Amino acid sequence: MERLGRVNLAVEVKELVKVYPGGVAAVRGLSFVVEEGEIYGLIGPNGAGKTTTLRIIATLLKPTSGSVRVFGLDVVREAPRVRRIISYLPEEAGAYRNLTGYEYLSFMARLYAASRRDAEEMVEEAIRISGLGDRIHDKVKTYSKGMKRRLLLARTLMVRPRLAILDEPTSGLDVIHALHVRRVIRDYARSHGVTVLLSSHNMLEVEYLCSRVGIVHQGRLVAEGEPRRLIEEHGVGNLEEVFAKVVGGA
Amino acid sequence: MGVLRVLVVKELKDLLRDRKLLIGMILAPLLIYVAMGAVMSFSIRESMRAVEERVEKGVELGLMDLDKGPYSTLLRQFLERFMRARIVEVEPGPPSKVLRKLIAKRVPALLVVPRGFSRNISRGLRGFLEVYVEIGDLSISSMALAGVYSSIPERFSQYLSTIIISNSSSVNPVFAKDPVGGVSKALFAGSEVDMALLQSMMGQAFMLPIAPMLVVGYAASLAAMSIGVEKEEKTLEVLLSLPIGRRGIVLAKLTSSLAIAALSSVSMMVGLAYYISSVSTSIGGGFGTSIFGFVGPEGLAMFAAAVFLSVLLASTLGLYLGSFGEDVRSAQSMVGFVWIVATVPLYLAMFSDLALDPPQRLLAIASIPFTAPLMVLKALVSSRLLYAAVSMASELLVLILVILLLAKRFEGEKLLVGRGGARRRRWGTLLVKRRA
Repeated sequence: MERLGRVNLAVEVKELVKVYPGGVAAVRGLSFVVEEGEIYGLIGPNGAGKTTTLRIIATLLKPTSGSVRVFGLDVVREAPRVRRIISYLPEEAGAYRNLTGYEYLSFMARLYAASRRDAEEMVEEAIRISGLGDRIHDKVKTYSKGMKRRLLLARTLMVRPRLAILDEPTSGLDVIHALHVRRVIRDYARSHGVTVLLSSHNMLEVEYLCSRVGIVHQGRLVAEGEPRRLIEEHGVGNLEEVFAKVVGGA
Repeated sequence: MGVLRVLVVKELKDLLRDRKLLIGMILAPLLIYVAMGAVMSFSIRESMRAVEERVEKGVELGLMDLDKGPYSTLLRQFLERFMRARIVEVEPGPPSKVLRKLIAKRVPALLVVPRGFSRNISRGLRGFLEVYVEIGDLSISSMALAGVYSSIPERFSQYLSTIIISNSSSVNPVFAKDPVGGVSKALFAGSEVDMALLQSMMGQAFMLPIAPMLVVGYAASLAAMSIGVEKEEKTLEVLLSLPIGRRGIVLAKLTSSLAIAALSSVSMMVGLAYYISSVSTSIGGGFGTSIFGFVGPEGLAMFAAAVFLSVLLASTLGLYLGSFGEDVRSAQSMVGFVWIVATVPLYLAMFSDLALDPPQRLLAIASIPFTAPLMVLKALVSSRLLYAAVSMASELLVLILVILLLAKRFEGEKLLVGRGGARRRRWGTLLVKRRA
């Protein structure tokens, strides 16, 4: 923690609790930090509270208790300012079916860009990131799931956020599309110094992308660290086995 | 057959367990007609009761006797004895002008006995009477009351027929059967109008709620769909995480729904104007003698403004109610509520009589949202603008309230997490148990 005290914190989650209307407790005292410039992965079984945590950080949900700060800004009290520096990709996000990919990106870029020129640059970058080529001028409803996900990832990254929040970025994608998405995330984070907080079920993906991971189980953080160190500490062969050991599935 | 049965059961379970769909698609149409039936029956009963009360008390009538003969005296006696009429003698003059003066004294009708009326009857020729009636509003009460006055020549003819037949056996039977005829004219919105034309306008008036109802329903449906699509296509989460104010999102949704609804309103106005004009033309009038002709271009603009206000309210309400749905289907089914709250008041306004109904009741009706289009039109026709002002002000207040509720809904997290699944599960379980 002393080491972390000397660097800028992109995300600081303290004793986070979220109880939904109806009494379902999704997060029960979760605490972790994400350093600026790193790719941090939240992993855990279904219902562990990963998506809820990401939604709170993205200012969509309010915590029941505890606090969340993004680059020092409180996500509840300073939500509009937080929204200006983050970009969020939900797990099952869609795009407007009747717009073309280009129109969709232009619409999003205009919400962030200070000038028309900036917006055009953002869109150009997004087209490059998405790798959709000429299909960018086709309507979104004609896209495959993989193409749609690439478009959405491009939308998330083109605005050059200080923090990109990616919920299961490769969920449901085939190998080729998943590979493209992973490469884009890694390269973009490195080249632009963007902090990435992602959640994933795919341990290979997490090992490939993340500098640190946090394993969440039943709304609490049960293990955290660099993937390689976690594997060594638990004396297993890979992160999947660490995960199974920690959450009690093995 | 077995597979079909399995598929049908699955479809029915899926549909019937969606309580929003159940309310919107099954209960709403039922409630609309039940409520409309209740409103119409109440309005007609009240209208007829008001007319009967007025007739029982005795009708007030101006009499312009240009004949001064024995049969005009008999007519006067008939009116006083059998119709308990309180007669106000008036000097000869243009009937419309005389009636206007009578209206100022709260006497709504004028009976003109032309010169030679008695002479004609004495010679075995039909006599003719002229009836001029004020129509305060295009409503059942006003038309029923006008009917009482318009029936004077016929009633007197029947009375006189019995006298003629009993006094003479050599009289022409055709004359003896119907010795008196009549011509009825109405004074409506300051102009003299033929009764047949007025009957046609009454028909037009009954069609009037349908057009705003359609546009209001369409606007609500469109707004509900816009939020339903966001949820169904999973674009809402991204939209809410963007660096734009939630109020901006609400405003943008309302503006775009309204732009389309405005187009729909214009299209409705053009269609309605064409319909009304063609109906009027077919009976020898034109647009000028239609209900819209009477209110003039300013009145037409006010009517359009009132329709727009109702459409705005419907869009806002549609957006608010649609936000409770999880997808397009459930958001659309929520619009059924808007239909109920819009249709019934429109008909309530339609059946009210701004000239005859008690002011308290009229103010109460004018205060109900969605009555503005009809109230404005009726208020313009009957020159009772207070009701138009009350109706529009009340609609505006409700609109502000719904906008505030909508803004609150978008500010909170309930838009994403809903109201929790516990109640839905209970409802589903209940349906299954009942069927079992």
